[in-house]
Amino acid sequence: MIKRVSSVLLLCLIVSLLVAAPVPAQEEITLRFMGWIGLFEFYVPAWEYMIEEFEARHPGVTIEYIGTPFEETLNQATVAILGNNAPDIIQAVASWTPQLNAMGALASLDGLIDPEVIENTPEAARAALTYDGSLKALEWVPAPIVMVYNRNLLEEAGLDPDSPPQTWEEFVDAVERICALPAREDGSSVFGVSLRTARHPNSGHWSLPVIWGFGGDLINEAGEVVVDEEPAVNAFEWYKNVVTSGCSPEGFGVQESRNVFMQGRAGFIFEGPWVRGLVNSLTEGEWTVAPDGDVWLAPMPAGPDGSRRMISNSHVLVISEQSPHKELAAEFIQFITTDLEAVNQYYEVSDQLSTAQLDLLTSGAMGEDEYVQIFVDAMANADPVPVQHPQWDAMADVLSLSLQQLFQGADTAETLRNAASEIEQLLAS
Amino acid sequence: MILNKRARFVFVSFLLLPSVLLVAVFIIYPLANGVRLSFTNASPLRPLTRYIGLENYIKLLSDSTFWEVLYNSVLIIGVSTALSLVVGFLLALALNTGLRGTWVFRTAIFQVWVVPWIAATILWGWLFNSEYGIINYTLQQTGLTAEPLSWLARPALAQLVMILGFVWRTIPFMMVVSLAALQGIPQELLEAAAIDGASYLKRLRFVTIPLVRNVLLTVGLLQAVRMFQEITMPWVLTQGGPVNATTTLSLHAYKLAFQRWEFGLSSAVGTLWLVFLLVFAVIYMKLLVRERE
Repeated sequence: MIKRVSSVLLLCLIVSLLVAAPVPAQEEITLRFMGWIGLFEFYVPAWEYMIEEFEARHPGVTIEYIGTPFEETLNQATVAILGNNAPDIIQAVASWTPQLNAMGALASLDGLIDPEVIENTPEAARAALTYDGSLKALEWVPAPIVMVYNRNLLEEAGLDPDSPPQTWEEFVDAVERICALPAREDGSSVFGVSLRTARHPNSGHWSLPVIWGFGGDLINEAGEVVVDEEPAVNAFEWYKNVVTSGCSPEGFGVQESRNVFMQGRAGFIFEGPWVRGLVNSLTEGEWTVAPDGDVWLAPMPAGPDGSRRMISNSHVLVISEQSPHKELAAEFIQFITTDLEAVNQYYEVSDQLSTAQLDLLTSGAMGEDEYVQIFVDAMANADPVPVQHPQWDAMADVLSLSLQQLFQGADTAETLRNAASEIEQLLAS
Repeated sequence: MILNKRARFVFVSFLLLPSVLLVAVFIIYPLANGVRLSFTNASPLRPLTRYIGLENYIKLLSDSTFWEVLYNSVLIIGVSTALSLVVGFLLALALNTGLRGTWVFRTAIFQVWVVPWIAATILWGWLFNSEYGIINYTLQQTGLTAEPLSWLARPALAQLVMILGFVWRTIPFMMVVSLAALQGIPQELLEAAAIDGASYLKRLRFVTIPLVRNVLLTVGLLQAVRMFQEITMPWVLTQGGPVNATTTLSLHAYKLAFQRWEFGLSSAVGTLWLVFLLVFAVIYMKLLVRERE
């Protein structure tokens, strides 16, 4: 009997050992991240730190980086989404989210991201990135647009560089005074302001602060297109005059308008937090960005009602609806936006805001950086998604076309009536 | 081994199968799918795609922008093709004279053909930049203009810049093909004409040009089709502006697809463009064939 029981027990032991013997392999997960961050050599150390540290904290997880140039990312993401091959996380610009959301491509972040992390981002950004009551993107790098000015030119024009224009009236006057300065030694003229006026949706997007500055809007709160109403007409009339009178270059895109400013040939330019790095690289360190340096910044001039509404080119992070690893993707997003070391390293290499977490922005190295704090203050009035409609880019293109028609001599009111009609059609589409 | 008719058919079909499959997958299917899409409201922004009949075509044909774009395309590409054909042929004539050292020139000019469109376009943008371009600098230094010209901000000037860009980029190919055609002319014909007292110009007009005419017209057609497809130069140089002055059909289709996300409408542009090119090519080739007969 004992022998039989012993045999049975031995058999059970062998079976249990056999069953238990193979240690279950740890699940290998690959998170796919699409974006442009790793394509810039100077960002790479910070980006590599984020990946390596996250992988070290999450054994079995690999971050696969899919590098896409900034200007190609939306198209690449769209193709991947349509092909049911979407990456888990996409680095995007806030104004792309209406399109991505309309495609059903964005997972809701509610319940995925810690509510405290969400609450710690600027309210304006949260509202702009919320669709039908659901947060679809988390602001990563806030980029409110501010007024950047050449202190030397302001002084030369008899303006006080320590008191830059505070209202649009003062701004318009300052532009005219700088524009009236004599030509430079090499015969080149001086522009009051370097505006983006190329035939590109970007020019239309960047015309919004001017429309707002004159008290107008593209679409009012009731959803009506009001770009053909008097304040917006006045704004575009100013645009037309400032360009046709040679106070701003005509047909210039992003890079060309920056070049003119960095050559010391424009009093003002509207730029985001990347401007410090741009000044350093384009002037090869000759200019300084400081309150008493060559270039400094101020909030956008206030409109007639005293408000300082501005656009924001914020970089955001979204989780794909197709992602099979949403929770893990959310963890990675939280890590790169809240981990102190990751945020600090990114700040050091980018020389700009590196998170939208308000507590981190107002403490440590960024908290002591006067430059960063101007943008932090501006974030409250910044609108990263001016029109929450999937055809926003097409609407911006209509505005850029209108601007170019005005520069060719078209009537402002009529041009904007046509633009309004086209935007109404886009809204209805 | 002699194959019977049936076996021969099977064998030939088997050999042709890879090419037929490739053509079917990469040319016929995309083409047919493009035409199909043009009858739908396809867009990644719409959850459902439905057939809308001729709606896209009606929308396009009643849109003044489409006609403006078509006119711009024909103007820019027509003038570019004609100019590059003439200049390429003249250069080929010069190179065909047998002068020593022409190979250096031939090699140098062909380098332009090797330069990628994107590099050529960026270079073109720098040359014609209104603020720091060398063209304005030269014009002002030589006193030809007092003020810098806004090359890319005035519709007519921007079209001219685009045409010059296309011509510059296309001349080498035209030159090489023309040169090959010229070198294919039997020397006896030219010598006989010379003995009969024909001057150089008469030999050119009555012997050379008629003999190379078909080659030139064919290569002209191919280049025109190629330029219709070209999107790099108008997109990078002017983004189709000022206003729509340099928006070509290819750029218009691109913008509709990737700025407005209207795949159906964009496909309709592509289909109309295909029909337009087919009609143009048929008329063009008919004229050519009639001349041959």
